[in-house]
Amino acid sequence: MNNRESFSRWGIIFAGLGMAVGTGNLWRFPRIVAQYGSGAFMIAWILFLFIWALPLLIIEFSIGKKTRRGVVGSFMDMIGKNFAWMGTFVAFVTAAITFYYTVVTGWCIKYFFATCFQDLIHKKPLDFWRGFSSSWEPVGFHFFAILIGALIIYFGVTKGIERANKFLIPALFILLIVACARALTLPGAFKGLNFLFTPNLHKLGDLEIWINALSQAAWSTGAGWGLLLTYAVYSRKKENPVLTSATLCFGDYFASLLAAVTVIPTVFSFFSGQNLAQEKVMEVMKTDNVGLTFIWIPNLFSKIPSGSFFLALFFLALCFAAFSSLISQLELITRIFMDSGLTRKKSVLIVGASCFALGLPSAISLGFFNNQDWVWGMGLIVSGAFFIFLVLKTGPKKFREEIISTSETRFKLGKGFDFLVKFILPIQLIAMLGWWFWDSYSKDPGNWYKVFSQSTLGTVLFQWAVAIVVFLCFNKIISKKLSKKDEN
Amino acid sequence: MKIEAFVFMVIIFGVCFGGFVFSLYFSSRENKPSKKRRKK
Repeated sequence: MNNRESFSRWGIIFAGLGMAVGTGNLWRFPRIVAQYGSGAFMIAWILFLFIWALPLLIIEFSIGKKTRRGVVGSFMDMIGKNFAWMGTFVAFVTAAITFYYTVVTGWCIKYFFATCFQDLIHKKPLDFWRGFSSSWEPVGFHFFAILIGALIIYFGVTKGIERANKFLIPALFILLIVACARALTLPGAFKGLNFLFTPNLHKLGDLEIWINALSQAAWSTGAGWGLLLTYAVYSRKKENPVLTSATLCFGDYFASLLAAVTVIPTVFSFFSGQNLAQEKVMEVMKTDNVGLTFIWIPNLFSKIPSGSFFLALFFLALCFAAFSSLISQLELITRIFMDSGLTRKKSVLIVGASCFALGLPSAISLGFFNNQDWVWGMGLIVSGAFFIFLVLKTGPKKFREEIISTSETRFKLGKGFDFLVKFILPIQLIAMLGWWFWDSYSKDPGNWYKVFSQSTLGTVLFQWAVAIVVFLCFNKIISKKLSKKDEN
Repeated sequence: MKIEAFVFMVIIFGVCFGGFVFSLYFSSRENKPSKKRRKK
């Protein structure tokens, strides 16, 4: 541990912000907030920052800072070797997301280059997307994304991760602010702001708003992924888990708001002067992430002055957001290999090669991509459940007094944390999983059990069960492998 | 822009940006050496 690199004061802030701010802020938040009652959704979304995202990130940060080991080793150190499988599941869920996230990063790079050099703005976006996604190009860009990501983590914590994030995050915020300023100067843009920020308090009674706000808070901040735990391994002793996690959460939310203020007024401006403008906006917002970003966004920007320049800025911001998150995901997997005794160089090689190989099916087939997104996106909630279990098993009071607040930290958490972990977090967890299971079942009651379908409840339960059974069977081997370093 | 939307926007941005600046400020204060340590 003594020879391990550590982040500087600003290094951990930028790296943490990079981990949290990802493509989800830019392409998911504007779409979800518009779909689910705008103002009412934002109230619920902000509430879940305090009662879901922030507590989970504090838990993750404290564990990483205490154990100084990756996700699997942390679970072993905190609650015993019998629970190595839980840490392995958390790591696997994030790894499974990484396999297709590299594909998304590749798409962003392609679209940035296409805007700059292939005159994307004057092409038919749907035809361009179809041509690109059905070719072998996504495989090449998937490889390119992994190559850059792996190179950054190969250079280590200070020279690689910290240096990259110190460039990516300020640049991303500057790009977002410029894009936001441009969007607000478009004709009819203020109608978009009116739509986005109308409180709509009567909609607060809608359960769907609350569930979607909770899922957005969970996915966007990276709570329960194990990513902040991995970065906290390299934090300085006097780093305060509560204040650092709060900085990341609020920074992530601020980036989401900037993205919404860019995208929604642009869509309103596109339809301004037309009949049923708001209904048309809602139609656009109901398309999926891919549809909105790679088909609608080029279409929207084609109609504004200097659209090509601003479209390039948008895709560049998306590339930066994607890379800053991808780096943290690759580091999470690399850290686990390093905990087993491998050098960083060997670990990065293994992680890079396996991410390329296991991401290939998603790069080739959009059906497989959607299936993996469906299965492992929700798997994050199970990961969050395992972190809550870890704290409950340690004892919330003990965890708060001995692990979150140490002698080096001056700002201490109150007893409210114990109540939150014992009652509020488990209730949210059960509500979210229960609603999601019911929703998935009721959408297609006749086929819910089909294991090999793209988006059924059956495929989710099957893949989760296979992963858990495999990790349970190999629990002893995993814990032995990761204990070796301690014995040495 | 409607008044109620403007007020709501200011509140939401205030919470997010204000929370960011507030936690960053206190986190930086926490990282400064205490008076006792400085005397030493």
